[in-house]
Amino acid sequence: MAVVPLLVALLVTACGSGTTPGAPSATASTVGATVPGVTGTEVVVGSWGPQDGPAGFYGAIDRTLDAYFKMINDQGGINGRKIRFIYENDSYQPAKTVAAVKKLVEEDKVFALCGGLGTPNNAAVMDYVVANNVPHVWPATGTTMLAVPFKKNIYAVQLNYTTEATIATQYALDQLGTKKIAVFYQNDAFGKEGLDAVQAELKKRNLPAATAVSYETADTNFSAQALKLQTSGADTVILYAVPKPGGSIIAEMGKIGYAPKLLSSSVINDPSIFALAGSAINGMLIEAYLPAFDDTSNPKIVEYQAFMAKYAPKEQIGGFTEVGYAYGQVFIEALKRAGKELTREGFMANLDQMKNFTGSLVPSLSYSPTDHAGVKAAYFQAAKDGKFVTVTGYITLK
Amino acid sequence: MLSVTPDVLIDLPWGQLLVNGLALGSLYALTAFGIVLIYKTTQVITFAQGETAMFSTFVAFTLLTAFQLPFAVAFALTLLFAGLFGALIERVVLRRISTTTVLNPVIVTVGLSLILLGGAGWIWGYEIRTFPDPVVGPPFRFGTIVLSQLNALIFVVTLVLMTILFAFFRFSPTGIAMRAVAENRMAAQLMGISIGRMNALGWGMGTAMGAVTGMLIAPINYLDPSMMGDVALKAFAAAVVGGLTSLPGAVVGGLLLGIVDSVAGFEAPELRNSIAFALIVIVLVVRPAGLLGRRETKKV
Repeated sequence: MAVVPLLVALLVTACGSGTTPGAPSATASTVGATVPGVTGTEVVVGSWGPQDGPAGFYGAIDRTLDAYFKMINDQGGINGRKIRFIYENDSYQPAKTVAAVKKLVEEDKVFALCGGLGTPNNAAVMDYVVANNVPHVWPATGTTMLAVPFKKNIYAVQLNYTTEATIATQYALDQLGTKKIAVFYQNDAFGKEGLDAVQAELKKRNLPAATAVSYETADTNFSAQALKLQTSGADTVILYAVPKPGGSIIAEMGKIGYAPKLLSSSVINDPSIFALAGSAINGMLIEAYLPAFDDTSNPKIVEYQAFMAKYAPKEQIGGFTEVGYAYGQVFIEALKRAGKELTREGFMANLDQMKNFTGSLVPSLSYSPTDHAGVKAAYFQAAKDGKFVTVTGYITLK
Repeated sequence: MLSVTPDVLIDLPWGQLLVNGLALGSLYALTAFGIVLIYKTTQVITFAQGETAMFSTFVAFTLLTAFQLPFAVAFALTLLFAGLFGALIERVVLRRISTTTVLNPVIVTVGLSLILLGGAGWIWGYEIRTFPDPVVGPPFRFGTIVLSQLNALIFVVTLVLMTILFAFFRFSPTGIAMRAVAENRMAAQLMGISIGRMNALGWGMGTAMGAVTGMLIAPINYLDPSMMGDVALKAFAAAVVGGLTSLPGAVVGGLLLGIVDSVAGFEAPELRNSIAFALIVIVLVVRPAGLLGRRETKKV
């Protein structure tokens, strides 16, 4: 009978270990003749994200990325290679993410990942992706753990949540006359990073801590949390929530007649939020780090909208398809720079040399062999009658 | 010395929490009521209650948006659809399942729920939609307590439905026949009651109750295939707490769970489900037959 626990222990070790000898590794790709996912005519790229469930809205990101790669393939591919893009649905559940990424790396043998979504999800596969040295360009999260501590094969772009939440807190205190803050946050690494940054900024200024009100991703009713926020007496609520709970909490606050100043992370920057939240969202400030998706005075946005009309006509013009498009731009640029002799090491070495790249929707993107943090500035938009209106220029941390 | 009540519990906005909890609890109660109704008449514990409700709500959504029907008409048509849908499930699937083991119907209803989940996603997609609010307008205010029009409607619908159903089971011949089947199938059959018809009726009514919940909850929780997951789980717990065989028990269980959910969601949202289910375990340990359930004894 003592065999059973031992067996279980063995199984757990086997499943938990990311450095199984059979897995593709950096040395294999540099020394050996074959590079995972690369042939003379094709390069395999993988991603994951929710196509259903509480975060299902984000599914548009991978679908748009897929459409972007189709466009590139129609134009003849990059350096003679067409892109084969495989994206997995993990329903925003980290346990499913682990299975999806193992499949992508070990069965599909992807060359690189692009746009894998979610903070808890990226956290769940981080060690594995690092151990297997699979380049991951623009993971779809703003968690600081992507770039701190530095990881050779992870290239963050999105403004990290610590910087984002600190900017929101400073803006509220210095520009909006905020006296008391409450934070509505997702009870995981994503929400907690936002909360911690708010608390840190308040502490630095010797102000009382913000009231913290959490939710779980499986929650569906937020009336209790809305009440908690109201009874806290906060005049400002900062949101670190994905679209469904984010929209719902705004609607619930509206229902009980609680109308604080609202500030939100960029993660709900999409028109879909207006239907979910109803009229109570009017006036909410939301952070953005890419240009406004409906600003047709910007030639890059005109290009994005033309792409959408041709390659993803069923998807909405909005923040989620906009980032999906931008992921494609950055990834393709990296692939171009890597040249004809495509290896993972070469791909990363060339990406490390990227300086002030302005050819994508990202205003300016730079990397170095020791810095993969990505964007460091954001601006505010205000929700107004079903639209986001830009209200500030780019702001960096004080 | 005696003031052991923690201050945190005194400072709570109890009035509002109760109103929210009772509204939420009414929805749990309606769903639980359907589960108990089906169990009492057919002896099958259904795990598909949430998904049949979700599916019916999608039907309502289609009637409201694609066909532009007024809410009351869409509501009535959806009830009709759900009733027939439930009866059909009984007639086509469950009646043919061998009940030699308790597990067969359980697996079948679990399977049914997964089929409906996938089916709804396939037909309507997985994106989260907003469901039209049946009532619009400013909320009612009682001092500091706010009662949204939707929550008021939820109270009214629950109260009316419960009254109708209690009257139905007490006074109508069909209702009495259904109770007779629940009481003693063999004796009921000998008295000339068609067990098959009663089973189909039980499923139809139970499924229609779920559809009511779905249509009332979708304006709050939004509409997507996974919308009923959390609600169905709580409703199931409410049915068990109430004693599975007791219709009033399902209502009491549902309301209790709604209040616990509301208070726990306020005080410790990350422990909301843990607290709710800890309570269920305690109830079942203290009263194995549930709050209002009858202890089933079998002669050996």
